Amino acid sequence: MAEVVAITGLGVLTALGGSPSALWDALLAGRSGIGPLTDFETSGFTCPSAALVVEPSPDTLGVSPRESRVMTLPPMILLQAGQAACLQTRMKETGFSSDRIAFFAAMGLIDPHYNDLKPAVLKSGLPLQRSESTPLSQAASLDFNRFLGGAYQEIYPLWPLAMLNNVGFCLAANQLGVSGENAVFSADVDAGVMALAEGVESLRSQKADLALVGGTGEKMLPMHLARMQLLFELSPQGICRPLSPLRNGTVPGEGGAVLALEPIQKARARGVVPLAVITGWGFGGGTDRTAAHKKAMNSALERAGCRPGDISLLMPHGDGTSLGDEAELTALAQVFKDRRESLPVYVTKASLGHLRAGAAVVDALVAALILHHRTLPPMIDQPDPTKGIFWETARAGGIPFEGKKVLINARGWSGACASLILERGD
Amino acid sequence: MVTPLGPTAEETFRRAARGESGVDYLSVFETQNLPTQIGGQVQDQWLEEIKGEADPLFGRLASRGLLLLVASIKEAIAQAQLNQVVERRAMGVVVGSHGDNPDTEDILFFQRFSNGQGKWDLKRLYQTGGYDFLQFYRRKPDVAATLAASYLGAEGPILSLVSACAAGSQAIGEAYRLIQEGRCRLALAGGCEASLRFSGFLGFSLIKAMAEKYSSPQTASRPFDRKRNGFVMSEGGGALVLEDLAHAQSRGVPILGEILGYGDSADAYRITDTHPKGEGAILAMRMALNDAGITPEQVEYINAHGTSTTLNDITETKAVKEVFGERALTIPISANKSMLGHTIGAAGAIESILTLIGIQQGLILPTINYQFPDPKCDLDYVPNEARKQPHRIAISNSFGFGGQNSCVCLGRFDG
Repeated sequence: MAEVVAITGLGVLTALGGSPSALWDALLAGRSGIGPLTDFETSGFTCPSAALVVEPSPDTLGVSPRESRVMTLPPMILLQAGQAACLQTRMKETGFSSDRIAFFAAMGLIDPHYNDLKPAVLKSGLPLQRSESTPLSQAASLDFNRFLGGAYQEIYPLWPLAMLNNVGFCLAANQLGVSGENAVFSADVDAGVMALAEGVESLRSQKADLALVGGTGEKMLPMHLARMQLLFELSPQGICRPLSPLRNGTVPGEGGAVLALEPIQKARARGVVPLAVITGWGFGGGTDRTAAHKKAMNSALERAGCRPGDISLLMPHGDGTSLGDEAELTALAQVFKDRRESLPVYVTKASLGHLRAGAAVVDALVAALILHHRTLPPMIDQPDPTKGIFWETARAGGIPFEGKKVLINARGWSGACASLILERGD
Repeated sequence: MVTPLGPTAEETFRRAARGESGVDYLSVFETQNLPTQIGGQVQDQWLEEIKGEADPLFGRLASRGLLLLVASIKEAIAQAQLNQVVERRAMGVVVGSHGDNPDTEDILFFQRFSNGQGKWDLKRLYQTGGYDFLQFYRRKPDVAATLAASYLGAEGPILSLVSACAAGSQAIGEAYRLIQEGRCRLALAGGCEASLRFSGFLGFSLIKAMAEKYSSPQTASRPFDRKRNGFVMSEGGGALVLEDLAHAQSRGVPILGEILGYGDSADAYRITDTHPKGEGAILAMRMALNDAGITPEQVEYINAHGTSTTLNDITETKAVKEVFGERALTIPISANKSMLGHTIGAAGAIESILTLIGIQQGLILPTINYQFPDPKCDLDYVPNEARKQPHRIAISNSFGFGGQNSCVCLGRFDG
C-alpha cells in the first residue's frame, strides 16, 4: 500500500493576508480581498477590480538588493510562503539534509516590466523624443541602429532573465536552501495539482524526506490584465460569483501558497501535526470541458479508493465564468448523480480572485485549514440550485464541519482539468 | 529531432560524427552592432513542410518553437509507430518549453496603447489585430505540451516543464517516472526552443554569457578548451518515446535503448553562477546512478552539459571528478554543444538522443574546437574526432540557468 503523505506546513500570501491564520479569519468572516484596481488606470479594461496582495519587502525575506532586482512578485510569494511552511514543519530544527528536500512549483507567466526598457528606448529614440518626461509610448518609434549600437546596454543585464519563471523559482529555492528534486510546472491551474502529485510521488519513492510544493499566479500588470481579458470572461462589475446563476465572469487575483509534505508516520514521529493527507489526484484533457472534469474527478476518486458518496466537501474550480462554470456544474451533476444527501460546497475565488497557477495549491491549503479547524467558511454567493445537486453552504462565521474527505477541482484555460482529494490528518 | 545540423536525428548524428558545426552568422535579425553575431539556426525549409501540412488552426498558432517541436515529435511518433496504439489514455506527454519570449517590438507595440500615465486604449489595441490572443497563447509554456498531446491524440497525463537548459532532460526524467509510477504506459518526452529571438538573445548578450571572441562562427563553441569564452545560442527540438518494456514488446516495435535512471537537483546557490564545487551537479549525477542501481565504475561515457562558458566547464569537470574519482580521467566525456551550440530547453532531449544513438552504434561523438588544453579541465574530452568505442551505459548531464540540474542514465537494450 502506498505511503500516506501528510501536509505538515502551510504558507500563503493572498489578498486576504500573508499567513494561514489571517486568511482563515478573513474567510470565516466572509470577507473578499477583491477591490478596485488602483495600481494603474483601468478605464480601457473590462474588469475594474482585482484581488491584490501587499507585496513583501525583499529585506524582510532576506533577499539581497542585487537579487531583489530580478525577484518579481511570483518568486517572492513562493519565498514568503515557503519560509512559513518550513517554519511550521520545523524543517531547520529537524535538520533535514538540503539534498533530501524536494521542491515543486506551479508558476504562471512572469511579465516584462516595460519601464525597465525605458532608459534604453529613450536613449535610442528620435531626438525630439529623448527626454525623461517622454512617455514610453511616444518613444516607441525608436531608432534600432541606436538601440543596437549601444543604448540596449542601459537595460539592467538580468532584466530579460527575470522573465524566465525557472529563474524566479531558483531564487526562492536558493533562499530556502533546498537542493533536492525539483521542477517548475506551467502555467495554469492544473499545474498546481501536477506539482502536488510530484511532491507526493517523490516522498513515496523515497527520493526526498520532505517536499515543498508551491503555486503562484501572475503579478497584476496591464499585460496580465489584458491577457486575462483576452483569455477569460471578466466580470464588468468586478464581482466573482462562482457557480451562481448571477455569475458574469471571473476577477483576477494575485497570490499563492506553499505546502510542506511528509510521510505521515515520519511526521508523527517528529511530533509534527499532520494537517491533512493527500490521497488522490487525477487529470483530464481535451476540448470537452465537462468530460475533462469528469475524467479528472473519477480518476482522483479511483486513486483515493473512494466513491462520490464518500466526499464530504466539494471545492470546485468555480471561476465565475458562464461557460466554464456551466461545464463544471454539468460534470458535477453527473459524477454526484446518485448522491441523495446534501453536498457541502466551498469556492475560494469570490474571496481571492482567480489565482491561475496559484489557485490549486491555495485551494489545497484552504481545504487543509477546513479539515484541521473542522469548520466550513461561508460562501459569499449561493451556487446554482437548478443542477440537481442539493448544495449545502455555511452562514457567516462558518458552521461546524466533521467531514473527512475534500474533493478539489482545477481547470486551466486550455481545458486541462485536474482534481485532488485531501483527507483529515487524524 | 531537428537541429542546426539536420532535420532528423540520423542526419544530426551523422554530421556530428564527422565533427561538423551547425553554427553560422545569424540571418534572423540584424546583429551588426551586437557583440555576438552568430548562432545555430535551423533551416526554414526543414520546417516549411510541417507548416504546409498543418491544419489552418495550427498554422495560426504555430510559433517557431512549436514548429520545432512538431518536427521532432513527428519523427519520434513514426519511428515508435505510435499511430498503432489504440489506448490513448495510456499515453502521456512531457515537454520542456518556455514559450516564445515577447520581442522588444512586441513590448513597444503594446506600449503604444498606453498614454504613458497608465491609461490604456484596449479598443484600439484590439482593432489593430496586431496583438491578438494568439500572441499571448504563444507565450504560454504549456502550449507546447498541449499541442503535442493534441497532435498525438494522447489522453494521459500532460506535464509542462520550464527549467531553462535542464528542461529537455527533466522532461525525459519526469516521463520516465510517470511510466514507473503507472500513470501511463508510454510517454512522449522532449523539448523545444526557438531561442534566436531578439529579446532572449539580447538578455544573454547583456550578461556576457555568449561567445564574443571567435575567428569563425564554426569555432566559437569550444567546450573545455582554454580559449572558450561563452556559449553559442541555437535553436532546435528533440523528442523521444518512452515506453513500459512489456508494452513495447507486445507491440513488437524496435527498442532503441533503456532509461536506467534519473536524478535532479537544485544548486541552492546563486541564479547567475553555478555552485563553485558543482554540488548540484554532483547530486544530480549521484541520484541518477542510485536510481539506476549502478556504480560509477559501470559508466562508460559521459555526455557533458559542456556549454563552453568558462565557469560551467570547470565546475562540470570538478563534479565529474568528485562522482567518478580517479576513473574520471579515463571515461570519455564529450560536448555536443561544440557542434550544435546551446539549444537551451531542447538541449537535454537532443543530447540524450545522440547519446542513445552513440550507444547503438558504438561511436562516441567528439568535442570539436578542442585545441588548447585548459589545466583546469583535464579529462578525456574526445577531442575533435569521433571515437569508435562500444559502450553500454552512459549518462547525459544538463544544468539549467538558475541552478536546476538534471542527469539521465541511459543504457543499451540487450533484450
